[in-house]
Amino acid sequence: MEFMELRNVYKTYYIGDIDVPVLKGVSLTVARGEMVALMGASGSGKSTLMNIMGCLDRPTSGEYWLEGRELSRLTADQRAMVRNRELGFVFQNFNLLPRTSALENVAMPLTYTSDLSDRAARQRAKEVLVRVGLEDRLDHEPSQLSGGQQQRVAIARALVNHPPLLFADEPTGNLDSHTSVDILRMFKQLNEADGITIIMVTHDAEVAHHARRIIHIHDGVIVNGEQMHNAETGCVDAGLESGDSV
Amino acid sequence: MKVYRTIRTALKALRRNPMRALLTTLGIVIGVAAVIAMMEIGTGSSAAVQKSISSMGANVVLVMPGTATSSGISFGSGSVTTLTPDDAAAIQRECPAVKAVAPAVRARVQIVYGNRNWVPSSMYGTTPAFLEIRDWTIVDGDPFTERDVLNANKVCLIGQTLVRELFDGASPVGKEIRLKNVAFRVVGVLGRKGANMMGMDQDDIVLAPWTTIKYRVTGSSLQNTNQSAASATSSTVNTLSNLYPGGQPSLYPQQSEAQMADTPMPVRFANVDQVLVTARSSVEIPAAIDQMTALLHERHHVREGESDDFTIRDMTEMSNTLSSTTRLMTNLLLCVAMISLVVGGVGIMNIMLVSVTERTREIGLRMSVGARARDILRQFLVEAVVLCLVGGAVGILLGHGGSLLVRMLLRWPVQTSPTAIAAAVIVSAGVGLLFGWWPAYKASRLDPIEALRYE
Repeated sequence: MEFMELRNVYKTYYIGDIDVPVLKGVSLTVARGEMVALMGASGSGKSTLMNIMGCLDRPTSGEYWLEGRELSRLTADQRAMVRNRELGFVFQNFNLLPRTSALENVAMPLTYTSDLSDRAARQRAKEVLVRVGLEDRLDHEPSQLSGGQQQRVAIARALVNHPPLLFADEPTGNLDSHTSVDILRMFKQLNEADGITIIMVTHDAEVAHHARRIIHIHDGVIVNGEQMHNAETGCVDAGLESGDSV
Repeated sequence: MKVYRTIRTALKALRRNPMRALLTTLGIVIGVAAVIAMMEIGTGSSAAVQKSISSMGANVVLVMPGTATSSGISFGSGSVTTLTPDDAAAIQRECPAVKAVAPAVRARVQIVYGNRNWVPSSMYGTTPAFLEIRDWTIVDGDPFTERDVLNANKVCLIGQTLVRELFDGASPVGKEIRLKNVAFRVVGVLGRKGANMMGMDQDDIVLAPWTTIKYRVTGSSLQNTNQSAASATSSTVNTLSNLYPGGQPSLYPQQSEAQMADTPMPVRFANVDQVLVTARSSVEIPAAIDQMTALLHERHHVREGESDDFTIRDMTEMSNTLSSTTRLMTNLLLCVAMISLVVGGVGIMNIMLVSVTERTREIGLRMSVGARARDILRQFLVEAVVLCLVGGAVGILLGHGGSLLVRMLLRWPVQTSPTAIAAAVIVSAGVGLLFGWWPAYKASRLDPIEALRYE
């Protein structure tokens, strides 16, 4: 059983009477502990694919397996639960709550998990913030933080529920090259040290090359599952044969 | 997601924009303040009306003798002489809904003190229970006693107006005044009651034992002393008038002057002009009336189908009229206040809609980290309710302050009304729920992908 598997996923949007097919039969497997970059031009369907993998959207047809569960037929509430427990999101524009301290921003997802006391939630948020190197910025509001620090708060927020899978949508899009490297290094470290599977959407080849595997998507289909000229390639091959089967 | 967490989240969200929250809730503040002030002033004036009614005697029921008719000629209310002090005693004894009973005879005579004289508008011969029934206090001296009544002692209580007119405000206790040439010792002074609802001066009054008034002053034991009938016989000390009006033969042989002087009270029974009764509570008034009616039927041998020889009146109609007037005014003002609450609610809805649009990205983010639609719905709903409740609390304080100000500056009667406060809290929460629901529902229906992409 693969960690994550997409089987022949189609997504069609209906705008009035016109059908707009965005994903045209995507099949893909990602093993636990992989770091994958999802590349493609705008309009190629990479965001739609990420939304489906991130349980924000449902495929029109096809199957989506995550950790042995088929998720494509879940209700909205069930998907919210999956997002809360098993997925983390990092966005291009950070999406932090304004005028809210870093600690509260990070603890926010925990308010939707009812089994944690307030004190435990704050403690957990603190731990994660320490891990991303912001132990001295707990009470700072987003406006008092630099872009890199804001993105680190966002990463901490994504990690607070200890999800096995992390999605990053253009995580360095709003950052300068120096901080971008920092953030990417942090992803790499999370991937290698904590075994968190990371799927990163980007259009920047430079950024994509930090991943060990790059998936190109073009016009709704995966064109290749290129693997990195990296030493550890063994685990990546799994995705290859299904990558461009359409 | 626990409720207190939702409330805290809502408070945090509101604190992010305190000025706007303040302005938004202003409508509710004004509405609730208006409701509270109206209710307090309304209940205050209601209570004032109740007080003025009870100054005429709380829950007082009046038993009057009925109408005498002879040869088809009616002599008007109070013209039969069948109501006796024994009736009063029986009512006290046998009617459980009755708290106190006082028989009363009325007189209208001139009072002389030194070189001054005065004719009080009311002069009652009664028992000490009268004071209890009319809820009257003695401010100087003591009331007369049951013993005074039994002995027909020449003592009396006088009202404030008499103190002013006869004594120039000096203490009259222990002084002697003359009622139709009979010397009475003033034993006490009644407290001030002011004018009654009809504009009559209630302090222009003399109270004395009914036996004294009946046998020594009006001096006509069998005659109806109602109205000024007594003045006709003022020249003699004691006279037996005709028992039946209309020139019918006298029941007893006419006595000579000497005989009459020898036997001052040659009567079998004495009638009274009215019996004042007070019920145990205002709700027991109808029961008291029923019990008295039954009792008096029995005592007066009124058979089925015969007309009563007495009438019973109570003041509920008058008090109902007055309190319904004030209630109407209060309700009208409440309606106006409610309209301002609705306007405030629309303001809340407006701002919540703006807030939902403005925070679309936040909603998308919350959904992407696992908030369900109902979590979002609840968050915005609670925000609206918290906003309204805070507005309600401020409104309660403002309204209460306003009514206190009215009391201080205009000297209007004001009464704190816990019902109004409870209603204000419930109504403001209700306004929050009602007008917060649509924006919250709109927020919860957002698509997380769209919401996250919203600029």
